[in-house]
Amino acid sequence: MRGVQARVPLGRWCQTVAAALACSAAALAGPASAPADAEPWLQRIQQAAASSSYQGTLAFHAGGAYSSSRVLHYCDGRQTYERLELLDGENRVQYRHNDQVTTLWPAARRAVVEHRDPVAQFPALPVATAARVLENYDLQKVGQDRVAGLEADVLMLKPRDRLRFPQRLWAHRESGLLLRNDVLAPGGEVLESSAFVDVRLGAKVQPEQILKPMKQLDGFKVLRPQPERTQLEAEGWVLAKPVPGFQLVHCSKRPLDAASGDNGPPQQVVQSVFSDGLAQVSVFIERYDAARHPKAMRTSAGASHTVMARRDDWWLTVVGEVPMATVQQFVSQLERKR
Amino acid sequence: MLNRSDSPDARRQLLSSLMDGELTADDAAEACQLWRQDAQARSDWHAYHLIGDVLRSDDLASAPARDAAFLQALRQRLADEPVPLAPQPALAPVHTPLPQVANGVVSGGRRRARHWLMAPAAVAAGFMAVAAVMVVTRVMSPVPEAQPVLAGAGSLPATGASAVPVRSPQLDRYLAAHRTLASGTLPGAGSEYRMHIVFEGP
Repeated sequence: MRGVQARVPLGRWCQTVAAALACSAAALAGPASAPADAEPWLQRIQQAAASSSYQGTLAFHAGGAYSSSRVLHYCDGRQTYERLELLDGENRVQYRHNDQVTTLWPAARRAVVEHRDPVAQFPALPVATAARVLENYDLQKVGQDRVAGLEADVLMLKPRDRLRFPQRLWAHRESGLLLRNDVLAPGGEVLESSAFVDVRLGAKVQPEQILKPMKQLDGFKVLRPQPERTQLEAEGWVLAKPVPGFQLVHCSKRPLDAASGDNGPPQQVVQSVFSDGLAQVSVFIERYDAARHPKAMRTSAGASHTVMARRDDWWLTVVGEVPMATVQQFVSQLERKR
Repeated sequence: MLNRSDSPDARRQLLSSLMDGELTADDAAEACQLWRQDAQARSDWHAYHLIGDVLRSDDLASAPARDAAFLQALRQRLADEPVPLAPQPALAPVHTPLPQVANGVVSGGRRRARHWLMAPAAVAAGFMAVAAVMVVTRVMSPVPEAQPVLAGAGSLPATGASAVPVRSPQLDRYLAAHRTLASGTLPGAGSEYRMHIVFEGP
């Protein structure tokens, strides 16, 4: 078969289009403010994550590590039920009813029951107003794509300064549900990515399917970590100068690793989470312990950058999906008040 | 020499005709020379092809900065390796046999033009393969290479004297605690394979 486009003088056509594009680009170059529809895009994504029901397979990769999980998310308007099962490594299933979270390690017969209110959980963006995100990022729709068999709009969030990474979002065209989220290096390479591999919207679930396994913990060693809400100031610390764009969204005293359980008394830390509406930074503060704390260092894995440093009798660990310079700024601004 | 490339319009006309396969061998050589010497000509050529790509399929549409980055990297590699880039039929999802393109010069008339239209798809497929490899290696690469920078975004911070990849269960515990609270992800998956890049020096 002969190609139908063979006789079209494409070069000439492109030349014309290029000229037309140049004209319209010049016309558009006037007002360089954010497009008026930036806020509704983010609100739509939030709304979809909060109110839709879906099930599918999630894939995550960062720093050379890959993992996937099967997710079932059901929302009946007021209540949220969720089942998340890790598909790699040790078997682990997490059941969630609103902020009640039960994590089961079936093989080890271990369970962790806790109240948890994550700042953000894919496919939801952090709980922040869209306006706040747009103070730190510039949102542009860059195209259309297909993810997990669904048509998606591709949005680019470019940071307004060097303290954060660009992010690319794929939002389901019909519902707004976030289908994929990439964190990019300034040069555009993908540092980490969360995405649906397959997804079905409108999944129907009986709440009992989630609630029952949360109660049936016979034969499990049940750990109930009790994080204690606190404030940085109350713990004797302060950020001398705020890091631009970041606000404190959570601060608690908690065991670092509740699930490990059997290695003596849990390591208590004060964890403060700062958010710029899209990226999070955790600041861990604990008593210095020569046996447990390695030498000061700076590390990265995927988009996560970490600084560990000793400050007199204290050990500071700052980690976040932000550039190293931002992490270092947190470390340098952290001051002991008493 | 480049008698027909004096005015911008004439230059564009020459490129446009090259794209449509309407040039004689001599004219094509002249157009290629222009392409080599004139940055504006390369920019126009790229724009025409991008437009052509978009016309053919939305999937071929991409951010110009990315194309430019690929071209830059590719040019660097080609400079070291004086082998002409010949599209590999196996890489291209096309049904017509591809022409042998040496140094971008295509001789022949309209019959060839059809094939020439297909060539960018094959080259694009080649870029994709290169891109895949680059992404994989850069994830593990301790010091990110200098990148063409997106508007408004800075480069990665200075990374100190050296960087070594390590596995660290201790670091993983902090990362997991951070992720659990900040991103709600189920921590630990794949952490036994996670490499932390440790930056040494000041």
